[in-house]
Amino acid sequence: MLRFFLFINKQGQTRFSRYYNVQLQPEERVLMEADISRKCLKRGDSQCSIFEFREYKLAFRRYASLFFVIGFDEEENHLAILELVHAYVEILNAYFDNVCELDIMFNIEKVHVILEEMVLNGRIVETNKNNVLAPVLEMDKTSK
Amino acid sequence: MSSQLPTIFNSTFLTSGLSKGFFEFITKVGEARSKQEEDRYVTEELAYLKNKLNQPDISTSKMKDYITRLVYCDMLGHNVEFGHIHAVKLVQSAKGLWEKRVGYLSCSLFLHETHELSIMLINTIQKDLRSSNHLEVCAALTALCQLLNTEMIPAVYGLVEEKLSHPKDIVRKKAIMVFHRLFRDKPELIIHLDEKFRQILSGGDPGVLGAILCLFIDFVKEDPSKYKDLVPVLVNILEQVLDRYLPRNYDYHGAPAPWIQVKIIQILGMLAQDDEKISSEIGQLIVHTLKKAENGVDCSYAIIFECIRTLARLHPQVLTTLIHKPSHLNPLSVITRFLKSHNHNLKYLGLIALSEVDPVWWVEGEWWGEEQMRIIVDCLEEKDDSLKRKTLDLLYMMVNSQNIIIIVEKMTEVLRKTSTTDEFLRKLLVERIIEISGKFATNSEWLVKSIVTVFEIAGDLVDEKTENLAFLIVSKDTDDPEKDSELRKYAVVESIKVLEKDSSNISSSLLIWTVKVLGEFLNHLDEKYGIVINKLCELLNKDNVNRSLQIVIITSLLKQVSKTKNCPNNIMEAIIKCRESSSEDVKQRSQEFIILADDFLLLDEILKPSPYNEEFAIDETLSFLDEFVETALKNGAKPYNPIPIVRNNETSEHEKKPAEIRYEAYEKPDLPYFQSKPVTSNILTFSEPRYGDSGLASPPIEDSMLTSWSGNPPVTPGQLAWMSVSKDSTFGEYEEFDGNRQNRQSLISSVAKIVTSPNSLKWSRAGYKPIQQQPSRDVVTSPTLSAISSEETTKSSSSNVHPFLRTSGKTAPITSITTKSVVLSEKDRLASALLSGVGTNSEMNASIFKHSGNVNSQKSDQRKNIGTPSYHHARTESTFSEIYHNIESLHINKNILQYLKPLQMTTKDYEKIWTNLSNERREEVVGESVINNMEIIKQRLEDGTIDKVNEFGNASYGGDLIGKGCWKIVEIIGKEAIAASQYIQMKNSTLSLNENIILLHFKIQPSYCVFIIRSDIEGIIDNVAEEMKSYFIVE
Repeated sequence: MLRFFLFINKQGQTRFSRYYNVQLQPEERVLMEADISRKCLKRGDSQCSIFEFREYKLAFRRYASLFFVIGFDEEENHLAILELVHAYVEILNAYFDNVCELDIMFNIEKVHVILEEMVLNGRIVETNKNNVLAPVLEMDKTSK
Repeated sequence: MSSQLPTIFNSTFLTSGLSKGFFEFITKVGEARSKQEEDRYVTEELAYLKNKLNQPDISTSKMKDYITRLVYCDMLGHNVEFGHIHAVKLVQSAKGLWEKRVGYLSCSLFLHETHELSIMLINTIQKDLRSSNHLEVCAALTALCQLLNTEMIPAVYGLVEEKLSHPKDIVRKKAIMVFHRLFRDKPELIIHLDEKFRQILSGGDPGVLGAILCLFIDFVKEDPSKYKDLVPVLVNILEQVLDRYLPRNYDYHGAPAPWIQVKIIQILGMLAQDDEKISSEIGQLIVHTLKKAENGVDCSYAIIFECIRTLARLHPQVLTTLIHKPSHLNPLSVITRFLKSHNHNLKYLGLIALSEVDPVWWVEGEWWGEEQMRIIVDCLEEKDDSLKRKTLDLLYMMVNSQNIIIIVEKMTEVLRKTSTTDEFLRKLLVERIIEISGKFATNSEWLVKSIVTVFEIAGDLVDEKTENLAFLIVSKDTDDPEKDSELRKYAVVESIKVLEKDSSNISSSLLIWTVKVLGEFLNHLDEKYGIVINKLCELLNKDNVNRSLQIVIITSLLKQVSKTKNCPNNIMEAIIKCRESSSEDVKQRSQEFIILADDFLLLDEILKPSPYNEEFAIDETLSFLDEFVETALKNGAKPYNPIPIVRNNETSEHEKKPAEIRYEAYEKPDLPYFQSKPVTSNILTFSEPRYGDSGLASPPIEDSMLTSWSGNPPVTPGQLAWMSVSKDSTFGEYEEFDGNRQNRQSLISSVAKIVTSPNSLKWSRAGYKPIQQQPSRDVVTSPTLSAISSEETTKSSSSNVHPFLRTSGKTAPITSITTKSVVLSEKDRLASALLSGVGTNSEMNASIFKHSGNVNSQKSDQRKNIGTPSYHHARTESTFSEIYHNIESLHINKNILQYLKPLQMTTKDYEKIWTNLSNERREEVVGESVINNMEIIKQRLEDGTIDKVNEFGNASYGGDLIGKGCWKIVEIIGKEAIAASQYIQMKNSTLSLNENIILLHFKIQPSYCVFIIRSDIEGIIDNVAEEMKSYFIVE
């Protein structure tokens, strides 16, 4: 099961977070996110992008100044999760047309909704770019 | 600072539909230089929002704006409880789809599933589920996945069930996921839908496949036996996926629906476990899937891993037939390729794949050898802790009586080196070392020494369980009494050694262990008896001695007294002193000691048999009380009424025993109180105020966090550079870079030149671009290109060398092995020692032989393939001319140019079309092929020549594939070139030739060149042509 999605920048600021079935108080969450960003920064380019963190496994990729991190349980297919990070970014990239940190900050609700189309209950439900974006684009159309 | 973020008048803002307040808030937070500054802005914002939200008659669009800001504040860790009710209100009053969706989103983020406010949503959810707009239905279903609770179930159950047959697949998909959620909480509620779900699965609707498979994964995990009949359906789906029957947009980077493949393989694996029939049905298919994935890119690695995991679960009978093949046909041999990779992600894949496979199968399939073993041993010295941990797991898996000494040595070494902060790893190591030493060691002296060593290194981490285990190893009676006594003798000798050291430096767990050993077995060594007893007494009366140690000493002394039937005066004196101890327990024990020391008969009675030698069987049902209860019932006592809360055994025993008396006294307390308690406490903890509603007090900030903030440049949200390049491609490059050292050198130096100082960078929404002038011929400056260059400059300035240039680091481990011959021989020894461990004991000698022979033959096989490519060469040469011919006859250029030329498209549009249509397979091929061809490509770009055909040789496309082929530039736009290419792949193990026509997309940078392969050319051309047509219509 996936436990959380995080986008954290190099300064350790959280730009996006979504948790699945993780009971944490806000303060604990913030501390954990800071911890994770430090761990990610510490890992060299040549080091493995999957590592253990507390009771979770983390898979992360870096895109420019932003770390995209997924936390998940041991039983998941680690490589599939690592690839999911990229799939998600590709979809964001398609939607925002060259997504950047600001896009994510200013459209946090859309980033959330796109994720909801891909992942529900901590499971990967949909990875087809067209299927993921179709409802979001439709909503954009009707609200204009 | 303002130049780094867009201003209000900038186009981002105008088009986004954001309010000014929202914009300013996000900008401020984005620019905050420290956590405190950020907190201050958020606190201000919250005060503002609180005020605003309490005003009457806010329009829903304003409301959405405010709530989105709250989502942001919540994410940053602030208390937004005051806004929860407003989020609910937004859902209730929302008019537009986005407003509704944001409302539901904020509710799912803010509200706990048992939150009292969620009840207020039931009506709205019901209304939306009945809506004719499927997007409203989707919004409600998505929220249900998060918010569904016991009160809601009856209100929405029927509506959600209806949605399983909704005409839109997106609605069906979400409805399935609501049931997925329900299965987690109340599985009994969806039993009757079983048939429906099976129908959906076999219905073959790709739109809901991802969701329904999630559901079945959980079903099968729960009870595989119920779903064995699904195998044909799943096999059928997997075959169709592999044969590309799914619509093309399900492909991801060239692989057909990889996540769906992974899920199906996973379910099949669970179903096939311990089932010979199913195993034999799916065995070949899994191997086939694995083979198909082997040629793919990143996402295929997930499939490969899942295939191996499933293969390892197959029935042994089936697996044997699958892997008893020459190494290149053995599906497991793919692991070697990954183990050998220098890319850590792939190496990690190799290690986790290996850890899924039982060591018995490693040797069975004749692919395993010292080479692999050496790689594993090398991984122990990796700095990368992910690899190290996996390796330790592997060592733990393969341990047996032959290799125990070497493995424990290695583990102890790692334990010694691991930093003390990593408590988890150290603890695990301690447990494992002690466990495997006890299980497999044959040499008693070594065993005792290794236990003591572990205690010495990490005594602080030994918990009671491990310490008991360590004692049990020594004290347990085995079939071989001679050996037992030998072991105990060594244990006593070592224990005495420990006692003779300065006790203040020794961890208490080690002392406890030694004292226990001495108490039990000191009589195995008579000569030092007196000295040891003195030592123990001394230790007992020492100041600040650990209480639990004191207790153990008293017990041990008592045992010795019982054994020797003699209580020396010094013991008595020491014990008497203990009577004054502040600890009740110590007092009690010393008092008992004094009494028992006078009465040896009673003492013998008490101490027999030694409690350490037997494991206690705890009677959890308290059956020994049955008789008592029965008589009590006969005498008219009321039957025990269990209270439905979890309590530990002690209390329940306490409650049960004096049934009659207790019952009278406790008649009153009503059960509901206990029952409802968990719920209320839950709510309480959730709504507990964290730091004041007003949010004025800031949360505590960790020191380390401050440093991480202050050390960095001001927060400048930068461009997310174009993904393909910035992908930080930890995957995708795993070829060797041995040749072309010169080229590499020149590359490195040229990169060094372009490192720009941070001052020359300017921020813009599109990312920062170097100020230096773009070459004038580059008329169309695409954001893509600038993004790439910005990415590159960040990389080089932060001294993260571009992937291409990481070669120097890569070759280092190889040289270090060859130069340090001492290390090598040490490793050889280790590797062969470990190797001997794999497989069963009886086969041991044979397997060593088999292996060394096997490795050699394997090596010579490979040499034959690579070194003497006579057959290879001839075949290549002949196909080469064919390719040359083919490529000349390709109509790509005509087709594309025909459409493209009149359009005068920008590079950006061009890029977009290619990315959208080219089957999404993007792959950077770096290294030799690019370096070799770069000069030519640059030259051609300058000349603008497009009609010359070039050869490229020996480009490697991952692992053991070698490509050879030729390419031709079809189109040049700006600094990018599209080339058509055809190449052959050669697999050194199978000699199979693959012919592919691909498009190469070159992007020239000042210092390097990226080239992206787009495969499936026919499809692309059709798609491009189709897309172009629509352009014409628009024009």
